[in-house]
Amino acid sequence: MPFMPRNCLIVNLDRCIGCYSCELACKMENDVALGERWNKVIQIEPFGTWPDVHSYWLPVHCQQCDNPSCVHVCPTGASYVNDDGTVLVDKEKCVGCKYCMMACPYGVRSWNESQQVVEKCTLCQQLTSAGELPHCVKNCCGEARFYGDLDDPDSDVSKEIAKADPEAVHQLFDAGNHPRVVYILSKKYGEWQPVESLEQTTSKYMVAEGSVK
Amino acid sequence: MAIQWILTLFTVVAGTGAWLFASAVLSEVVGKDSRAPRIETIIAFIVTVVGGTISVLHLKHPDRIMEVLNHPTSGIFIEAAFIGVMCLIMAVFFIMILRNSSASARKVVGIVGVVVAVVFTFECGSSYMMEARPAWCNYGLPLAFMGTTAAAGSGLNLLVKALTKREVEVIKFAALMACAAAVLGLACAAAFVGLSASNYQALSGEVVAWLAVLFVGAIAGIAAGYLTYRRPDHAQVIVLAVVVLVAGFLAALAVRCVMWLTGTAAVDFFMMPLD
Repeated sequence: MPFMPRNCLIVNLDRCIGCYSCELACKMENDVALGERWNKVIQIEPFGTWPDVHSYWLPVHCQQCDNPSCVHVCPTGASYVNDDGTVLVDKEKCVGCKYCMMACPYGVRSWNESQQVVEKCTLCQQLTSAGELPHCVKNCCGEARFYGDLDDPDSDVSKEIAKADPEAVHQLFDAGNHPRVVYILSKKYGEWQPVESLEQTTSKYMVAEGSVK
Repeated sequence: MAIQWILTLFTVVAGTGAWLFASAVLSEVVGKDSRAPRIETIIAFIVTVVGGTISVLHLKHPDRIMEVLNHPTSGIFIEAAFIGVMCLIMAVFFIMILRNSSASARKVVGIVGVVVAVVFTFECGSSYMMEARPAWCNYGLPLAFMGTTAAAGSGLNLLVKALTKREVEVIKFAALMACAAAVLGLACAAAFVGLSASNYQALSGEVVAWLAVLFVGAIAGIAAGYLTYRRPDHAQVIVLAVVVLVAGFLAALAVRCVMWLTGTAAVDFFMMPLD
């Protein structure tokens, strides 16, 4: 089997200040229209019991799954895994059936209204294929975002995970798709809340059971 | 999520066509109908083609449809392939009727068509078994797709036989099949609702209304089918057959509407509408 990197983003939530720069940078670089997004910062609203109250921001985007459901259901092969292991959409093959949007366990695929095709985070292929970093990583004020190959011990992502307390390393739930993206959140900044147990109150906020009202 | 009407109609209409053919073939295979199902095959072919054509309306770029050859293991490709195979079998079956081919050879082709009808309507539901949609991820869903279209298709078979003024015994057996298929549809739909109910985020009024349509439709189909079976010479047999068909069709629509309305994503960060 040919060697395939496992490129992805990881986000150190201990350093994320919820400034939305990554969201904005993504939109600017990839020309994502209003109402559409490839990257979104969600606030996990304050939870806990005073004085032990926490809140954190959770930037969400394509999880670059090892076993991507979106690729399996795509009838035309428009959703595919490219040579560098990135899950991408070939928009010229997309028939707009939206099955991939139904199959994504995280709802992080976007609908391009003007082109009538599905889109998603590409890990800024136009930059990374030229050796640069994704725009969200370059523009993260808190230097909380990292890009690289999870299987390369010298990559930025591997180094960041290695530095972290193993108990602080988290991922979104796995529905058989094996997400690659890693979130680092230390207990002193907040208790990791499994997203599937959260309630999405509005587009931008999620609350945990026992959230501070 | 919102009801996807085009996808709903696609599986109901195409499935009804497939099951009309299957019901007509079964009548002949078990010796309850000595006449070759010529009209039934023509109608089944048309209904199945119409159903398949409806599915194309869901695509935003139907001009790229040939790209499906890139991924022949996807659910959508398999559904499309089954429609093609179903129509091919019906066409071959019809040509065999026209050419007075041997009855046993035609039976073999017909039985293959019955098997394809079962698998096709099951596959239409299994394409939606996704871990991302917990309420869909159980085998009750494809069974409900298969069972409810069996009820609608056998209801159409009964209506065709009533309209063409077939013998009492033929209508009686068609009514028995329609009644049995409606029971199957009810059981499969109940299994789907029972297996998925724990994953419903909320029971909205719309869901309750479609559940009512589903179960009232299924029970009405059983009742009208049974009445027709008991009194196949009834003066209003066409009306009863229409009730069986409409009830079966509505139940098939309703179970799919319940599916869409309760198909909440495990997590939906971007909250992009799917319609």
